[in-house]
Amino acid sequence: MPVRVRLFGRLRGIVGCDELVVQGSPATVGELVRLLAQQYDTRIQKELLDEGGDIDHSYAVFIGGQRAGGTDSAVQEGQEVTITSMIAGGFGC
Amino acid sequence: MLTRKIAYVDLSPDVSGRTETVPPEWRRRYVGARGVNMHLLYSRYPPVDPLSPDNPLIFGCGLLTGLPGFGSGRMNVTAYSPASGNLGDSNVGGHFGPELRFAGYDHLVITGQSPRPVYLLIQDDRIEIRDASRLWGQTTLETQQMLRHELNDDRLRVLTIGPAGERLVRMASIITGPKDAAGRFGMGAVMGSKNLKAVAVRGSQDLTVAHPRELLDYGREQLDALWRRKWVQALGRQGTPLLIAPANEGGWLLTRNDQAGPLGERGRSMYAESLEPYSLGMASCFGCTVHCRHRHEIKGGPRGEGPEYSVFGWGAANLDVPDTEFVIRANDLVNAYGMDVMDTLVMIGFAFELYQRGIISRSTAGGPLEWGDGETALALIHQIARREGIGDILAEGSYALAKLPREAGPYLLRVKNAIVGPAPGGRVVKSFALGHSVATIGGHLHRNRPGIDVLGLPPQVLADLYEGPASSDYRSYEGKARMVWWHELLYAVCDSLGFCRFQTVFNSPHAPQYPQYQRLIQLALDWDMSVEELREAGERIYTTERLLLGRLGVGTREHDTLPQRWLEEPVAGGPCQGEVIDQAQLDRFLDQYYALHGWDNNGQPRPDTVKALGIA
Repeated sequence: MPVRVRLFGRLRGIVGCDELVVQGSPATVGELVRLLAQQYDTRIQKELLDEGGDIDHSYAVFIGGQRAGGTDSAVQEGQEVTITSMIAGGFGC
Repeated sequence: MLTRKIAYVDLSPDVSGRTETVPPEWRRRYVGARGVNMHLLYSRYPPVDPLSPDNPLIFGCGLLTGLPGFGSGRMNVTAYSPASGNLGDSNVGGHFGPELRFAGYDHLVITGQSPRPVYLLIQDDRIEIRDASRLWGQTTLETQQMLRHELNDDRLRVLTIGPAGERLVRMASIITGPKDAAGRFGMGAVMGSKNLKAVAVRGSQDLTVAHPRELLDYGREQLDALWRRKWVQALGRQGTPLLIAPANEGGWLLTRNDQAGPLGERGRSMYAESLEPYSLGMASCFGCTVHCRHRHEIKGGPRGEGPEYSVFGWGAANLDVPDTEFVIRANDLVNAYGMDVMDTLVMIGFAFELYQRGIISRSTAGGPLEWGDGETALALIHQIARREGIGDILAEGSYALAKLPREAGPYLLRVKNAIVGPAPGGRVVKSFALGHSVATIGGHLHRNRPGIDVLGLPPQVLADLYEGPASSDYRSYEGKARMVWWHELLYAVCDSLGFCRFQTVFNSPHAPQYPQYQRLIQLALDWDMSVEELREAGERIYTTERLLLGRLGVGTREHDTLPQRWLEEPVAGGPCQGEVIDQAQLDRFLDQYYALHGWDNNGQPRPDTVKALGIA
């Protein structure tokens, strides 16, 4: 089942579009990122993951409206995935 | 650099000014900017009516403002606050701070009241008080343009109030450039009460440093390292509006004065990308590599700078107007009049809720105040700035409650009489909320917002950073007292150096902090300040602020609380539905937090702590 991925922030600028559709049925965020890199742009994996292979702290991934805790977070069938840039502070600046 | 000056200016007739060298021990113990400002306030100026001539308006540059560093364009403006009646302190960027240092001064202390509008002109060591009659009534941008034109100097740097400050609107700001603002806590009203329209400065003196070549090399190396960070590049591309997406998706960005849930799908229309059609590129403050500030133009309208995240949060989401053009227009209006965007937009949301609940009538409001009505919100900005109609009541900020029905009280979200408003994450991210309860300027994020726990980092990363356990779950209360305390000390030092919050552990655990500060101080001043000495300076500054709160009657446990809405009303919808602040957890937090600071169980600094810190 294809997964719809909406992009905001820095990744949108790198990939050059605001939405991607991943073919296949990724069960986790890690698999989803791997498929995104395979099907669209290898820079996605390098950009989204840190040296330890987890989600880089400058990004936030939301699955069906809930924040993903890491690359092992589950992706359920039919859920929309949103990827945004992230910084810690600044809320209210 | 090794010897710096304070200028004392009394605007009362027939009173002359004086200057003094900043005592070296003050710089070592309080660093500069915010720290020295607080020491001045604590040691020389007892609490007074904030709008009286005796309230000192203190402008302070950081120890390293204007030098290679981490966004070194910043300074602090400090006074007793007409917005809260308590401690007022506001940090501002841009180019004024460095220019003041190039003119030879680190601090200006302005007291008294001029019988007529005046401005200060500082040209190197010379300070003149000049007539400002023709500037009175002008907007913040017009005032800067007029002064530059009259003095034939395009590089003149100006801090000015707008019409709101002249009319003593309690949330009036002081502006430099199109949007850089000493925005919070009514510093513009203090300036207006003195009939001081502006301070203009031009400096041509050198900042002498101990090791110039090494300082330049280290500064460049650090800036290059910063620029390679993904979060810096994201901030440089989208500015603080990049946070709208995670805040809305995560369900932290609430609406209708914190009554309702997030905007959800409707909110996506105002994510940072929506600014691109209006963008003229990004700008930066003095000496900054991040350049997080949007420059914009609405077709056929004037050019401006901003908006920051706050206008989206406190304006668009709060008022239920998810429209980027509304945000830009509100931003430009508030800055032109010289008002704080947060307090102004919160007061408008507060009025909308009072109307919704029937606490104020249509006739009192001057018409219907409906959620989602951006045009009415913009009209209210004009009315507040001009003190017209209901705007005259809203211009009183927290003090408006004295002029409204008693039932209005709970709907104006405050801490220590400072307006908090619907701070994003207020009930969701526990470290944010708990920090509001103890911030020394009332409920505001910039004293202690930890933030790092929203990044989902491994617990060990946080434990290493904070030298103790702190949960990386942002909904958890565990370890948050340590986080808040740790950031209070760091931010006190960061502000007092004259550096930008965005380039320290506000945004990333890997951002510059004490070790990098220590090295810059060594290269600039040849001082060997240990990390421990810097942290102790942070504790000294924060405890001095707490002692000031004690003098003002709000420095004890009973005042360290949160808005009723955050304690009693769970978040109404979205991914964070049901989140609320637990009073028992707040009490536990306070116990731990006071102990970390060396304060007693009632939140008052213990005598042995005050003595050990050498506060006098």
